[in-house]
Amino acid sequence: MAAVGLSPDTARAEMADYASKEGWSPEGYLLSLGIGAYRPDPGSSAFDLVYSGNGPIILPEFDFLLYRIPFVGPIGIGVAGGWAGYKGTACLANSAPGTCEPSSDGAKFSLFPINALVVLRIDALARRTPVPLVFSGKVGYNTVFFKETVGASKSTGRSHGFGWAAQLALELNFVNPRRANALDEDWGINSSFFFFELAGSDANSRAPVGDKLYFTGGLGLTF
Amino acid sequence: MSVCPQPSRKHTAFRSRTLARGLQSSPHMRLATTLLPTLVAAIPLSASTGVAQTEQADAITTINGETLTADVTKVYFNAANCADPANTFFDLTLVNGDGVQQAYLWAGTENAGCEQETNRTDQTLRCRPMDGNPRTVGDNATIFNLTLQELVDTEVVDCENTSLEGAPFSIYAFRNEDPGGENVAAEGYGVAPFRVDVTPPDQLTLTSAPVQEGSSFSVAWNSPTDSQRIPQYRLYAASTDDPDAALANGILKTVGIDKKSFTVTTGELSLTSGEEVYLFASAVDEAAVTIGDGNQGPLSDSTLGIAAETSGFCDDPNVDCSGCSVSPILLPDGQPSAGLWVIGLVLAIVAGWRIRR
Repeated sequence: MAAVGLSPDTARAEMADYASKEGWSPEGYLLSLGIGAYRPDPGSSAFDLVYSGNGPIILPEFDFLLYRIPFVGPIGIGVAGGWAGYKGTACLANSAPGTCEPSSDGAKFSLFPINALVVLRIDALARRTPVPLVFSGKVGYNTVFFKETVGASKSTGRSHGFGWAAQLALELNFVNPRRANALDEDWGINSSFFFFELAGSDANSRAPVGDKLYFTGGLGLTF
Repeated sequence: MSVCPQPSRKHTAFRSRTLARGLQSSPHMRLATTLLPTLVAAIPLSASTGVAQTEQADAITTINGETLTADVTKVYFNAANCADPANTFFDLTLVNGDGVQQAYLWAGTENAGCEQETNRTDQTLRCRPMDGNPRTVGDNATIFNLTLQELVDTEVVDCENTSLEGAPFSIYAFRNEDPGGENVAAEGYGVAPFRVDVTPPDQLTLTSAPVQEGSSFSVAWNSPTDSQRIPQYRLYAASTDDPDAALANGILKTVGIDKKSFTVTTGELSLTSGEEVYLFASAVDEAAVTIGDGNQGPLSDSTLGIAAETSGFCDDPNVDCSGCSVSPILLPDGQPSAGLWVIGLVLAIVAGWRIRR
């Protein structure tokens, strides 16, 4: 990845080719904000006994698009960091195994995932046809910090593991191409898009706080 | 109140026949001749309203030695004051009181209009003179050491009628001269408002669970009914289900206005696992100089709290939260981790390269 990203000559050539399109500046970065549902999946009822709800998760992401693969799209690296929170009722400690006798204590669980990703955006369809869809695939390393508050006691920690994501994005330039071009000329924003993303996290190295399948949706910009 | 003289009709410009004929010659002018006299007539009425002098705003400035700050909007005598009115002392400060050597004090109901001679009769409980008139005005234009008993003795102020929640009254202070049988001009008197509230707030109706088991307990309630706002709620605790015992133990916690619950931990209650506590809450209204000194309502029904160990997700025997490092730059054994540094280095290189490009 690093070798690819640090090949400036090749990247410059590809970028130049891409930027040679009329009124289109080089596309080097991606910024997105997604909101979705995330729920730790420990493979048992341990989490479900205490907490309800699916987050939500709020997950901003920033990508560096390093190299454009001809006829495919840009590849790069990115980082995403976010937050998800859950509320519930703590169990009495003398509850039978696998059951929860509710106590008067509230419980709160917060997650702070940080994902380092390799990103491949397949935008050939949007660039070479009128269909404004972009597909993205991501793989990387997920670190999830967590904090649990039960009554007056707190637990904190970190788990990590493999993460992946697949994204479908609808570029919005077709809505008003003239304004999209103006946005690029004035601000360098190549395109804005709505996206829907399915993802999975195996951040279970310590506390099992990964979610095998979750989703986010939101808005993004490339510039 | 002085009444401004109405303008004489002979001075109205539109009485001039010649001018009026000219003005009536066009529709617009006819409209103008209709409206203008009305507007002109309204000017002196507005002027008289604008310049009318209002009564001077005297103030009760201390009650039993406690000074009322400028942000206090209502002055109260509460149930505790009414229980011993002879020993409830207050000071009355006269506005614009320089040069006032003595004052004649009258007790009145709200907006009693005691400056009007017709309202100062003994036939109604509207305005009555306080005993001991005239009163000497001391330093800072203040009359010192008045008592609530003196107000009660006028029979205008009622300390007994609990239906009068926060009933408003006034002290009229006539400057230097006995009002006698005359109407008194605004500059000749001042009015100090106050209220008597001897009615405590209702008992709180709890909305939290009556029996709770855990390491913290919540006592929540619906807002009580009281004609005045509730600036303080109190939490009491006892080892038995006895409100008197809880009161004897003293206040455990207080919360301010707009709060709807207490949360108290077993640590604050010094409870160990298996021990029990009964919790009670009550409301205190604003009828006092200091928040918390107002009328206190009865204690609520009790909430039974039983101290117990509790557990969450991380306490599950199949979940290993222990030993988790809390930072990506530290491993569980406390040794530095290179992971974050590597990621940061890569990002920095990429960012630098992109900026240079």
